[in-house]
Amino acid sequence: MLNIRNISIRNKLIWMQVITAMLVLGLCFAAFVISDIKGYKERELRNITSIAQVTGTNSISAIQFLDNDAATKNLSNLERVQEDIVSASIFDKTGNLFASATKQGIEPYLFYGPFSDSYKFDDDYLYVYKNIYKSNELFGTVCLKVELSQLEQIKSQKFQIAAVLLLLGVALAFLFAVINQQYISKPLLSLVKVMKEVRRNENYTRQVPVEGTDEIGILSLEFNNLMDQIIQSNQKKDEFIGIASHELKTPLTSAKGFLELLNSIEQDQQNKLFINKALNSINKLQSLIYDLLDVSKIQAGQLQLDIKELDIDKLIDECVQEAQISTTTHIILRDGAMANSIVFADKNRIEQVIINLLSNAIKYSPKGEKIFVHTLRTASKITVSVQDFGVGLPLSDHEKIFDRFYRSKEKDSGISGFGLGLYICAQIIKRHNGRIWVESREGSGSIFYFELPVYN
Amino acid sequence: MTIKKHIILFVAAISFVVGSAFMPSQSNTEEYILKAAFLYRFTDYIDWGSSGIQTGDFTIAILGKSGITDPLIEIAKQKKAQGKRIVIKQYDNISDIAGCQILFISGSNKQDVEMAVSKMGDKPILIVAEQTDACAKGAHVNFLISDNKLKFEINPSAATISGLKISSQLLQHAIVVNTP
Repeated sequence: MLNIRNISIRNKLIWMQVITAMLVLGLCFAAFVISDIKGYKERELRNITSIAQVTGTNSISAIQFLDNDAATKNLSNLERVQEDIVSASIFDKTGNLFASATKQGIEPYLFYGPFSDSYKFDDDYLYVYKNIYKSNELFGTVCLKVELSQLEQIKSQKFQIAAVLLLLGVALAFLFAVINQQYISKPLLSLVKVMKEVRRNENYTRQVPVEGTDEIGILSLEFNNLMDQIIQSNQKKDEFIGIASHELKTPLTSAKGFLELLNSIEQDQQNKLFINKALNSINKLQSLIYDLLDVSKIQAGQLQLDIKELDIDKLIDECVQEAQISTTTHIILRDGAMANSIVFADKNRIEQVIINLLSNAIKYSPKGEKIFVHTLRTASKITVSVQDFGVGLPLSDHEKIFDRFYRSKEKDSGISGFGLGLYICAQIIKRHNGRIWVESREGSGSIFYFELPVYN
Repeated sequence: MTIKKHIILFVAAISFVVGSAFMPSQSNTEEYILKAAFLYRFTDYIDWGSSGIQTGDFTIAILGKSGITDPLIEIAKQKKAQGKRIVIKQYDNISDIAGCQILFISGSNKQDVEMAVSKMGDKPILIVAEQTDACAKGAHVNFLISDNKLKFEINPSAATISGLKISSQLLQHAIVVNTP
């Protein structure tokens, strides 16, 4: 069963117009054909009736003087006047046949009463009865049987014209509909396109052009208003995150300072263990708050970079060492040739990216495996990759993984985080005019790449 | 239907056939009714001219005794000719006839036709006869029976002499006889 809701508005509009045109034109042409046929019949009737009248008048004297031959001659002459007359008879006033003539090669037709002024259309024939009067005295009746020879011709001709015009009309309606529908479906589709873009890029500043004040114009306007509201609420949220993380940072720093102090003066091993556990938690909390602060800076466009010459090899080595300290189950290996190049970058931020990638590699390969760090230098850029042999990512996640607060669904295996790390990494690399991406297959690990331009 | 009814019907049919065979006057009557009707209808197709029709009645004179008299009287009761009352007058002697539009000469006396023509052939009086060669003798119209049908001859040249105009429509139903 055809579901009307599944037909696009574009096609619905086209079909609506085409069907309407077809109905209206069909009715018009039917009326045209019918009235034409009716007109032909009426003309024929008038014509034949007047012929019958004249024949009757001419035959009065023949009837008066009982001259059958003269009347028969009159009737035979009719054929010459109107060749459609196939049979003609005159009956006297008592209803007896007085004279009769039939077209050659045609079976004579016997007219029957009542003999009053009348006519009848029957299939392809017209029967006309016309009384003959002179000075109000009835003399008899002229009866004519006429073949409607042109009826078929007129019918087929008119039907052809109607059919051609109908086709033309429907074709024009289709054309107009196709042109017309653009004004409705095009803005709708462009609205949908913008919506998709907005969803994909999370760029809520995108606005739809508002054209006209019709329903689609209102829809576009309302969409734009909605976008404005989203921007506002996003701003409020970002402001909140900024303020909240800032307000959290200060007491946390103080708590951490005092715990470190306590750790340095505490001698009891048991107490030291507790203090270290508390410190660990504080560190995690701090890194989360820093992440939130970073995000809020990025959102506000306030991520400041301290661009300096940077030896990328040295930075990678430092990061590998730092990450290796935090794990006992994984082995992190620097793989391949040294990059031997200097890039212009913010050292802390690039370090943040590499540490983040390494800690993700550790986090998402829970069984403990090797982790490779690889660099590749080309003329214009340097590519750094971090490869693990962990759980991997489904293809659908490859782009979304760099979105804010996005966490791969399948990995609810107790791995914590806000889903901010890769977002921050991506933003940092972007600010360095670089590129970040992932190659991964579920179950066989991931390789995260980032690329930085090298300035010679 | 019972046999009795059959017999009654049969007897009735026989008596009708036999009866009609023994009544010659009946067919004669029919003939005169028709002649009277024709005679009356001639008035539609003949123009007597201004001198032929004067104020007064439309007179049809009948010379000699004829079966046409009664049916003509019947017609005269109901109808008018040329918009006038029809008057039927019967004469035995031709010299008695005065002021008529149609003169019908009974078939009984053959001499009367020639007399009538010589006496009033130049007047607008339609002379109608019912005997062979009447038109050749100068009558305007002559009834005859041919193929068992009532027909009529017309002599247009005689009519012209009399100042009568006979319509071509009437002529087409007539046997035209021309005298020099």
